[in-house]
Amino acid sequence: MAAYVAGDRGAFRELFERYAAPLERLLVRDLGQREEARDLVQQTFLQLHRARLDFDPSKRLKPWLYTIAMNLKRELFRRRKRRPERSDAEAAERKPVEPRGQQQTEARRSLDWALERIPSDQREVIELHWLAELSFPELAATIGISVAAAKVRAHRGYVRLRELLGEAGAPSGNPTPGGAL
Amino acid sequence: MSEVSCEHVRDALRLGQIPLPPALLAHAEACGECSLLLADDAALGKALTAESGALETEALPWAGFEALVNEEVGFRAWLRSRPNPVRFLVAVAAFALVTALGLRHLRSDFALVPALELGGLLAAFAFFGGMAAARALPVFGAPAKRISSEAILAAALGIPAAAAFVRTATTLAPAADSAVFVRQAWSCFSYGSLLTIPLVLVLWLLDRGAGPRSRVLHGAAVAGLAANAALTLHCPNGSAAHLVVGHATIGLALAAVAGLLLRRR
Repeated sequence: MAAYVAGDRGAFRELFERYAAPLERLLVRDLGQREEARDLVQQTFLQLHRARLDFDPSKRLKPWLYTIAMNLKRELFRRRKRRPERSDAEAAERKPVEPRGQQQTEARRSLDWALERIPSDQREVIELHWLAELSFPELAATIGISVAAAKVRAHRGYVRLRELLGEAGAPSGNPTPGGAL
Repeated sequence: MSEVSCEHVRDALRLGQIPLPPALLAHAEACGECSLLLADDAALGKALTAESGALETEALPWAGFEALVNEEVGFRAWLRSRPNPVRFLVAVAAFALVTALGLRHLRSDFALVPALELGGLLAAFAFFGGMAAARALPVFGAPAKRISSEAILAAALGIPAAAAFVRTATTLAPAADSAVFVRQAWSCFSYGSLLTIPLVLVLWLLDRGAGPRSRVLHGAAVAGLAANAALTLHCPNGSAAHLVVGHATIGLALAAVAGLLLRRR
C-alpha cells in the first residue's frame, strides 16, 4: 500500500489480486449472491483507492481493508432493510456457492452448512478470525466491538458450530448438509 | 516466545501442529474459545482449517476494476482523495467563509450586541458545525462519535433559536401582523438557503461516496448551522418565532430535500 501511495500503480493491482478473492469469499456467504459480493469487493477497493492518503504505514493494511468492507456491507443491509440472518429454510433453499475446479471435502461441506445456520454476528467474527486471519483485537476494531465481546461471539459461535457439526455427522434421520442443500 | 494468544493456536492448527506444542496447549486449556477448537480430537479446529485453507474462488477480473479507478480523475477525485484532516479543514474553511458572508451586511444593531453573548453563540455554531462536518465526511472515526448524532442534530435546530437571547434595545420586536411575519421569515429563510449552497457544494466535492446515509443529515446540519451563523450577524430580528421559522428551518428543509433525493436513488 505504501508503494501505491508513493505512486506505484502496479502495487495496487498486486493488492487487488492478493485480497479480492478472500474478501469476496467472505462476503458471498452473507450476501448470498456472487455478483453482489463482487460489486461490494469493487466498492471496497474503490474506497481504498480514494482513501489511500489516509493509510498509516505503521499499521497493517488488512484490518483497514476489512473495516471498509464490513462498513459497506452493513450499509448495504441497512439500505435494503434486510437482515443478514437467514432462517434454516432460507439457508436450505439458497444455492450454495461452489468453488470452481475443486471438489469440496465432506468436512468443508459440513462446515459450510453449519456456518449458514449460526447467527450472522457470530459467523462474522469466526470468518474474520479464520478466513481473513485477523486477530481478535483487529477484528474487534474492524466491526466496532470490544475484544471481550468478539471473544464471546466466537465462543457462542464455536459452541453452536459443534452442535451443528454433531447433527450433521449423526446417523440418518437427523439433518445432514447434503439433505439440507 | 511472546505471550501466547488465540491467534497462535489458530495458526498452529492451520499448520497441522496436532498435538499442540506445550505452551500453546497450556493456553488452549485455559482459554474458553481455544478449548472448543481442540475438543473431540480438534474436530472444529480441523474443520475450520479445511474451510480457511480452500480459497479457490475465481479471481475477480482486474480489468473491470481498473476501469473504475481510471474514472477517478478531475478536481473532485483529487479533492476527495486528500487525507482526512485536509478534507475536514476544507469543510471548516467553507463554514467560515459562509459565516463571513454575514459580515458583509451586518445587523443594524450590531454595535450594541453584547460581544460575549454573540461570541458564545458563534462558538456554539462553530463547535457543532465542526462535529457535524466530522460526521458528514466522515472523518476521525471514534473521536467524532463522542457526541451523539442526535445531540448534533438537536443542536442544529436548537442553537438558532437560542439567538433569541442575543437581543439589544434596538432588536426588532416580533411582527404583530402575520403577513409581515411571513415576509420577514421568508426573507431570512431564502437568503439563508442561498448561503448554504457553497457549503453543500464543498461537502459534495469532499464526499467519498461511502459511509452511513446519516452523513447526508449531518451535511444538512453543517450547512444549516453555517447559514444560521451568518444570519446571526445579519438579521436584527430577535423574535423567537422568527428565529425558529425563518432561521432554524433552513437545515431542516435541506435535510428534507436530501432525504427525498436519497429515497429516489
